[in-house]
Formats: sequence, structure tokens, C-alpha cells
Amino acid sequence: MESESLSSGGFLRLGNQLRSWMVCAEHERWITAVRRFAPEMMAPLVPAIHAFQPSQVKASLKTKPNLQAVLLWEVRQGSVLDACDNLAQIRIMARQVFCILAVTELGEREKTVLAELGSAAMIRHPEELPALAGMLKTYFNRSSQTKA
Amino acid sequence: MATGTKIRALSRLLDANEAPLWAISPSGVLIYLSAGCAKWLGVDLELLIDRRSVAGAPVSDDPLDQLAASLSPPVGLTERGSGSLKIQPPIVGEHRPEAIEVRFTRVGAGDSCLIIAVGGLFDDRSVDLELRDAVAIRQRLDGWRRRHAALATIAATGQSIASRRLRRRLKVAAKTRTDIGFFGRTGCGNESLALRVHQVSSPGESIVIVDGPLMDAELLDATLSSLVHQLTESSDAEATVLVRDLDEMPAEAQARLVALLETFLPRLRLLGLCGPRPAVLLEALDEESLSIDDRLADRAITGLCPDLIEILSALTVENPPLASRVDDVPMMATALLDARRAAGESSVAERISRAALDSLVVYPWPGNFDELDQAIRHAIRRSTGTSIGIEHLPLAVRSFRPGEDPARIKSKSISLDDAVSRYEQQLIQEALDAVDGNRAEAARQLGISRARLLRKIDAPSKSDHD
Repeated sequence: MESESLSSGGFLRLGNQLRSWMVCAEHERWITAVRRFAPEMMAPLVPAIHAFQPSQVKASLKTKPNLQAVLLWEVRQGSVLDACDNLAQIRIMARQVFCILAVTELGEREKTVLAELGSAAMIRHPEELPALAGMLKTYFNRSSQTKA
Repeated sequence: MATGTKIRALSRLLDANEAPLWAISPSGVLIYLSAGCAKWLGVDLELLIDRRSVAGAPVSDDPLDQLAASLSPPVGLTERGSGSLKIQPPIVGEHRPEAIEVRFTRVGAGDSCLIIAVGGLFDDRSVDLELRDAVAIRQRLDGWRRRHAALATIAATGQSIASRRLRRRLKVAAKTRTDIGFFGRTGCGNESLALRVHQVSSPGESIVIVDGPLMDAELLDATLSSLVHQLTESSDAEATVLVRDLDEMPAEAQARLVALLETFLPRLRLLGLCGPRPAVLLEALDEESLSIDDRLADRAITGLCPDLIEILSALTVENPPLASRVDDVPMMATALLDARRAAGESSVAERISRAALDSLVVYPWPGNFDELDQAIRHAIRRSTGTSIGIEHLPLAVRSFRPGEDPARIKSKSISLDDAVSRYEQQLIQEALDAVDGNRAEAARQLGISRARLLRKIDAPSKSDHD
């Protein structure tokens, strides 16, 4: 006997509201911040939050090229080069992904380079995440309109 | 002639030092070798005096001539002034000299210059790490720019009147540094065109890419902070901001953008990407001026504000839809295939079959150039031979029949059970995508058992009620 925790209506609603949020960061502060703020930022959508290694992000996006998702990527001082490579590849294979760069350690010169490669937003600290709620809402609204 | 001080003290110090040091006269012969050379070379140093030490000069079979020649400086030292070599002198007798690093310096200039050589351990070639990273980052950026340059070239290629007009316009745009409006439908390649224009008209200048619809005034300030910082720090600095979907940018963000452009005029330049026929925002809209219907519908009021229209009127580039450039499609498709082959993405497919080209020509390309690019990538991945056939093209392209709306083809008669089943599959796929394929987690999110989820995945055409 199978049990369902939701009515059939709830089943359909929740399935349609899940949105993937990938976090690729060395510091735990970022996944903690996403877990804290993402549910409020994305309501009524539900974030499915997961930590990824860079190679896992690209592998995941390669198999799901049209995925509507949020990606928060921490770029540290010693990893700007890798970030350039990864960001360029992601922009080519999955340009629709909403990409947030966490750039706490970077100077203006590095940020300018990353800005040319393209990202939705750059933030320095976790408390700046909630300010992106409006952008996220617009992003997912536009995504659902495109799907329709 | 003036004379220098006595060199006896210097000579004593050099002899006490183990490092080999020698001097070569303007005529190219050895005139001095320190005591360190004796230990290194294992010969009587007086035997080497007046022997020729010039790179590339003929050398006799005399081992001492060959030894002297091995101490010669690198070619071109008299012009450059300094140089370095790793020198491995030949074996003389039974002594085997070790290879050492040597630094050469020219003293004086012209025909009277002499050369001093010092052997030893040096650590002056290690690359500054920051410089190395900066070079590598620059290489990445150059690669990114080359990619957009290639796409821009292909997007504007063709023999149609529309493509010829587009290329003329782009040529003018690339020759001048001014605000430019690029108008065209989604997917027409305007971003690559704009980036290419920027590279040609303003090489080396910083550029920031902004998603117009996602901005508000505060976010715009934050996004452009690095550019503003540059422009504020130096009165000579110049920068460009490229805004995607500028006509869908909220009015307050447009106003902020106009303010920034006016503040840093003419050093901050705007490249605006807009739809083909943007509306005009005649007045600033706020919450109170919106109708109740608009507020309830949370509808975005989009268009370009008059100030931005005035700014973009400096130069406009209209990029027509791909459907109006039908005769360019074969050339563009072939160019895209060639570009991917050159990038190493296709090791097999070399050409597109005529039948496939016919399909590409007939298809209306609602997604424009980007959709064509994706179609060629898809076909390259699918093809196994040297020729791309119809069967390798995406389903939407190869199944298109003229006279039918592409959207209607997807909704031919389907039973209710099939429709429900498809919807279930869509929800299941979305849940799986959100949890990266973890079926147990997906089942929990969907509120069903894992076994039931697996049954639905394995047999999607069967109803649970059968």
C-alpha cells in the first residue's frame, strides 16, 4: 500500500515549484547562507539546494542544457583562472542559468574580467544575497513565460 | 685619457672568490679569467688568454681553442647589452667541467665594448606569480573574445541584401566609439555582434555585461561599481556597458543608467540590445499610476525611456530575423560547421548534405541564429559519418512541414491518458533535475513512494489505475 503525503493536487503543485540551486564554494558560509535565505527569496518556489564540485556542475549542466537553475560560485584569489574557464564554458553550454559569483577576496581588476565573461550578479558577503530576491523572481517569471 | 683606480684589490677579491669570471676584449679574445675559472675548467688559465671567444666563429681542432669558444657570449649581446646562457665547456684531458649558468654584460658600446661574464647560481628568472596569472587571465579573455568574433562573422555572413546592409552598418559601428542600439529578435546574435564591435572600436577597454530586466537602480549601481571605480579613479579611463534586453529594463534602472552615462559622458559608452520594435515609455511609471488590472497581473511595463532613445539614436544596427535571410542559411550553417571543426568539436562531420540543407532552408527559425547554432551542434553530436543528414538534425527542424504552425505540430491529436502521462513525466523530470537525479529524494519531494516513482519512470504509458 503506497502512502502519499500530499493529495494529487499537492503532488502536481510541488513538482512544478522545485527549482535547482547549485552551490560551488570552498567556504561553508555560502551554502549556509543559501540554505538560510533561498527559501524566502524564492517563495512560492521551492529551492532544491545542493553543494557541487566544479566538475559536477559542468557535468550536470551538460546533461540538462535547458535547466532553469541558480548557481552560486565562489571565486577565490587563487582560482580566478579556473573561474574564467568554468564561467566561459557555462555561458556557452547553459547560458540561461542564473549565475551569482561570490567574490569576497577579489579586487576590481579581477571583477572586471569576470564581468566581461558574464554573470547575473557579484556579491561579496552572504548578507547581500537577499537583495537579489527581485532579480530571482524576475528570472523565474521570465523562464516560466518562455516555457509557456 | 682618464684612468681608473688600481684594480689590485679587485683582483685579489676575484681570485678569492670561487665564482668563475672572465672578460672578452672588443676584438673577441679572452683577456682575463679569474681563479674560479681554473677550478671550473681544470686548465692553466694563461693558456686561454688571447684565444678567440666569439659565438659562431670558426674554431680549430685545438681543445684549448674549443674551450675558449665555449665561453663566448650569446649572439646579439653587443646589441642587447646583457644576456644569459647555460655553458657546458668541453672536456679537456680528464677534467669534466660542470654546466653552469652565466650572465653576460656588455661594458661600453660600439667597437670598443668589452664583455664581462659571471658564472654561478641565479634566481632571477622566476616569474612573478601575479604577472603569470594576469597573463593567463588575459589569454582566457582573448579566447572568449575570439569566440564572439567568430560568431559575429558568421551571424553577418551571406549574400542577401539584409546581410549586406548589416555588414555595412557594423563596419561603421566598428570604426567609431559611440553609443549604439542593436535591434533584433531574441537569438539573432546581437550580443556577439555588439561584443565584436566593442573589440574593434575600443580594444583593451573594459566592458561589463548587464541583464536589463533583472536590474533595479541599486543593483545596477552594484553591478557597474567596478566600471564606476575605474572612471572615477582616472580621468582618462573609458569603459563600456552592454545591456541585454534594454527595452525590458525597469524604468527606474533606465533612469539610473541615463544618469551614469551623463555623469561620465563621453567616457562611459552604452551598447544596448533591444527587441525589434521597442515601445516608448512616455512617462515615468510608479505604483500609483499603474491601473488596478496591471497591478493585479503584476505586468511589467516595458519600453525605452525617451532619454535612452536619444542616446541610442547616435547609431543603430538592425539585425533582421533569420527567416528573412533564407538564402544565407546554407552559408551560415556551413560556416558554423567549419567553425566547430576548427575548434575540434567535430572530428567526423565535414559537410552538410543537400537534403539537410533543404530542411534548414525550409525551417522558419523562430529562435533565429542561436537556434541554427544549436541545431548544427546537435547534428555534429549525432552524426557518425562525414556528412550531416536530415536524420541528424533536431526533431523540430526535420519534422517541420511548410504551411503548418510549428507549435501545432506538437499538439496533434493526443489522448487524455497520454496527455496526463506526459505531464506526469514532465513533473518527474523536473523533480529529478532539481535533486540531481536522486530518485529517493525526488520521490520524497513528490510525496510518493520510491517504488511508485520507479514504476512511472519505467512504464510511463501505463496508468496507475490499470
